[in-house]
Amino acid sequence: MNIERILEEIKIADVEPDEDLVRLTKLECSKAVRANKKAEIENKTKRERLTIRLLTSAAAVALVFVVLIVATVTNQRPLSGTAYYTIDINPSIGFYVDENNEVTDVILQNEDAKELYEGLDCVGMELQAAIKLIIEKALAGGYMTEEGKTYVLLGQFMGNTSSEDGEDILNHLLAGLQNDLGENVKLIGVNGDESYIEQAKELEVSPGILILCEMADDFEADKNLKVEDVIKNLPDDYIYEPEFKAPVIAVKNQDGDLVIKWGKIDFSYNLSGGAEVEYKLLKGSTLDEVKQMKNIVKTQKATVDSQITQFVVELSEAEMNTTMYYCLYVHSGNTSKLSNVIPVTLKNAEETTLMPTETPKVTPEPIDEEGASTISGGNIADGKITLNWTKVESERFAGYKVMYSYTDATPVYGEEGCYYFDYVTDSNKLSGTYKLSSMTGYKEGRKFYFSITVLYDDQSVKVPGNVISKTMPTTTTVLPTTTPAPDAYASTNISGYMDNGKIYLSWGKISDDRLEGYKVVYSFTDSTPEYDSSPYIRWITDASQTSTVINITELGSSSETRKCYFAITALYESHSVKKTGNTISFSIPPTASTDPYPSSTISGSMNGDTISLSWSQISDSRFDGYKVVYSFTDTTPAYSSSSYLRWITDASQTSTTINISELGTVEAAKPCYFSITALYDGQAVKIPGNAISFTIPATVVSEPLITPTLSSVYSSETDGNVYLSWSGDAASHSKFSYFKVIYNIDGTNRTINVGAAVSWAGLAANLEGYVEGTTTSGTFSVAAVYTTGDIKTSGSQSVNLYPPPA
Amino acid sequence: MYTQQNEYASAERLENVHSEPDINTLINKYKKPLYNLCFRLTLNRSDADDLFQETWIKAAQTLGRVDSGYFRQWLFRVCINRYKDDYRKEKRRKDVFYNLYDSNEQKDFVLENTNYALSAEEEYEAKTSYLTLMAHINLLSHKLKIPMVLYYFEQLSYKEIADILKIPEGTVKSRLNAAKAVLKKELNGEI
Repeated sequence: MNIERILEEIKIADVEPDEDLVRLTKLECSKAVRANKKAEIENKTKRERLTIRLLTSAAAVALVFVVLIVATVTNQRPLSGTAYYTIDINPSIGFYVDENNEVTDVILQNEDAKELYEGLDCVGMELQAAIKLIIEKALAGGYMTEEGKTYVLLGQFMGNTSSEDGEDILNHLLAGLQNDLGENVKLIGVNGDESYIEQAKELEVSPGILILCEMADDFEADKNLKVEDVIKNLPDDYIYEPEFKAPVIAVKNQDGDLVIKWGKIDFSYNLSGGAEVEYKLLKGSTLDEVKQMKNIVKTQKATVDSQITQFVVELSEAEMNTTMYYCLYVHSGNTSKLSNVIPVTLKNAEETTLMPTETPKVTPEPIDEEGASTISGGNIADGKITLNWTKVESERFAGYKVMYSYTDATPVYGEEGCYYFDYVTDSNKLSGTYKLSSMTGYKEGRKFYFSITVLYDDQSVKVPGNVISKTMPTTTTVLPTTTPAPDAYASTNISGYMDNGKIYLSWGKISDDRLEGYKVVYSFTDSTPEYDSSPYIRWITDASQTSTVINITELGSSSETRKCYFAITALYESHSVKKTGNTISFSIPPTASTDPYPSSTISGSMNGDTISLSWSQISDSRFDGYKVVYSFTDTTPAYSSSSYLRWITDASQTSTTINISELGTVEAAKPCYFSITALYDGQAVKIPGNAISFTIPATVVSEPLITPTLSSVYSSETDGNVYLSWSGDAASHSKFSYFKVIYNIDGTNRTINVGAAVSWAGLAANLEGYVEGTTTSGTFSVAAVYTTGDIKTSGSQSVNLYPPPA
Repeated sequence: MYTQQNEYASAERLENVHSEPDINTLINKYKKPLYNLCFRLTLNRSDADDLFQETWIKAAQTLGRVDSGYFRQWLFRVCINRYKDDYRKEKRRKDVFYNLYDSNEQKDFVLENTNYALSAEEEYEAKTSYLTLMAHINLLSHKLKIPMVLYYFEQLSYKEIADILKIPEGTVKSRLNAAKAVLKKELNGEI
């Protein structure tokens, strides 16, 4: 049974509430209404007293201050094309913004807010920046709520923007802020119309708190209520929890277009295959601009099952020699995420290569020198070097680049002539052992410099560390002076990504005439595969080919997730020289389904010579078809040991009809057994089902049909008749039905049913098609028609035809 | 101490005094759809009765703020919030039940009130399937169960559900899909 079908079929009948229940409910409601009225009157009186008290206490405070407060509080102007945002931490602050999303007014809703805002001026600031400033100041000021976590309630109250646009704007705002603020700040977004502003004003609370209290249901809005008190009592699904990881984008130049790519996002946390995913490509001339989502270059919607993984952007000459920042925004369910930001500089139009530039260091906050990692070690053994480094403790840590160079005495990531063994993103991993032969420029006796560059944020901040140097060991102590040692054989480094069942690999080109080709090697067990100890999946002899695509099915099938390592071994000198570069790895998902293969249940009935069979439908992606098998001897027939009558590849076809004649000659009545064998996976898997049986009667030997023989055909000039006679043997056949005369006098065959008679006579002029003066001859034959539908026809004869006598 | 008669009299006088929506009229108009929702969420009369009454009392306390054009959606929203609150408190108790149904009454309700569009010979198998499915729907988190109840049993549209739950239509669809995915996974082999 299909769940969706059941859901459609289940129709729960309506139920009536008990009359006593209704009566009692009305009573209770009436009491509640009266109590409410009474409370309203009391509150109104209380507020009036409060207001009066405030005004009369103006004497104790500077008049200007009081006037300012009153003016601010009462100046809750109606929204018209603008919006009002509230930030509630425990300080509660409101921002009015204009159409450009710039702050025009600041409302300080409580004492904490006034204290927090001292020294700040957010008017004229972009909203997101203003909110971030407030939150950061609140964090620095110790407005924590729970064990280092801060709940921030962001309220949005729109004017005449549609609720869908409003949700969009709020989602963008939350995504951008969450990205900037990190995981220790829990953002909660609520939105409502301007009526909440009025109600909140009456109750002297922030409108955001008012909405939250409504959602929590147990809380009455009160100006002394703290955000965390309400939030702790909200149902879990109200909290803005991330449901998927932020994507990581990469860019490349493709025929003059910019391709922004990312991997498929894992939504398995809470979203099913049909859930909608929205992608937006953001662009800006500064990091802040791109994160504020002011310029959306592309928008596309997809589903969790059918995600997109790239955008292609046409580049404009107007952007020549400028750096633009790109970022990807993804929204699904209740969550929005921003990817890393990548700067792209478009060079001279004659050049076809786009060179990503460094992120300007001025934009992110600088990292202190303590943010560097100290390298040590450098022991060389068995053709490998072991390096150690110190751990970096920072929330902004991205990874360690293990750098080396033989030309630059202070190798730093991203600088010319500086290469790296590895990019370690685990801050606790503090050592690595690397093959010397994998080093670019490796040469015995050459001095190399090693260092660690620590990357922070989205790799936009780099902090180089100290340097150690090592001279590569030599195997010979004397170098010939007349014949210099040949240049080192180069290896190449691999990179790549996995997307939708395919692995895209690329590597650096080796420009060396001695190069014979690249072996793309892989291993599930060796984390540093190399040819020929590890198998290879591609052998590329074209030196200019520096990429390949591998289908994960080429790696074999498994029911478990497996890690697979890839590397490139460059071959020289008849494969005698092998140089292997770095290793990358991917988690290969299971390719073989572990679900059991279902069988099909057969049933049927027999009626005369016909057997009607039906069976249960199979819905399985591995399914190939049904074999309808039978046997007179095997009570549980199965394919392929038993013969089959039907091979049905349409999974939706679940019945067939068999004529017993298909079962062959049956000498004496006996049972025949039927079953369905379901085939899967290219017919490699055969799953038999149950068996049923029917008693098949002995085969009746059928009489051969008899063809009549036309014995005479003649026509009379005297009377104008045509006379036919034929043999009557056919009439004695058990299946005989009738004879018919077949004639043709005008090019058309016509028939006359004559029953069981063995002769016929009739006027030629009365024959259909006869034309007096024109028709002069005709051909005649006779046929025996059988109840089986068979017709046996004699040979034909021609005769002259005569008109009837005058 | 009020007698019942006096209660009625007091209520009538109150309704005549102010011009706000008459709670009794609203109860008469919406009692059946609201009770159906209460029943489909709780699957038993006792809890449904409590939920029904609590919803109306809450409604009576905040009637003045509601736009009459959206009263049904608002009423449903209040009911669902009330239900979720009760669910949170009762969640720990439900964990100790091994049987998928808390009571025979729940089971009987499903059997008695489900309209089968099947032949007699298929009815037995169907009843088992429906019982199992209803039990698992009942065990879903309220985030997934409520859209399922509103869509399949209250026959509301995505937009109506979005209005009631104050979530985007897309979220309604994704929750329905998520609920069905959970059910398919949990019921694999059982149906």
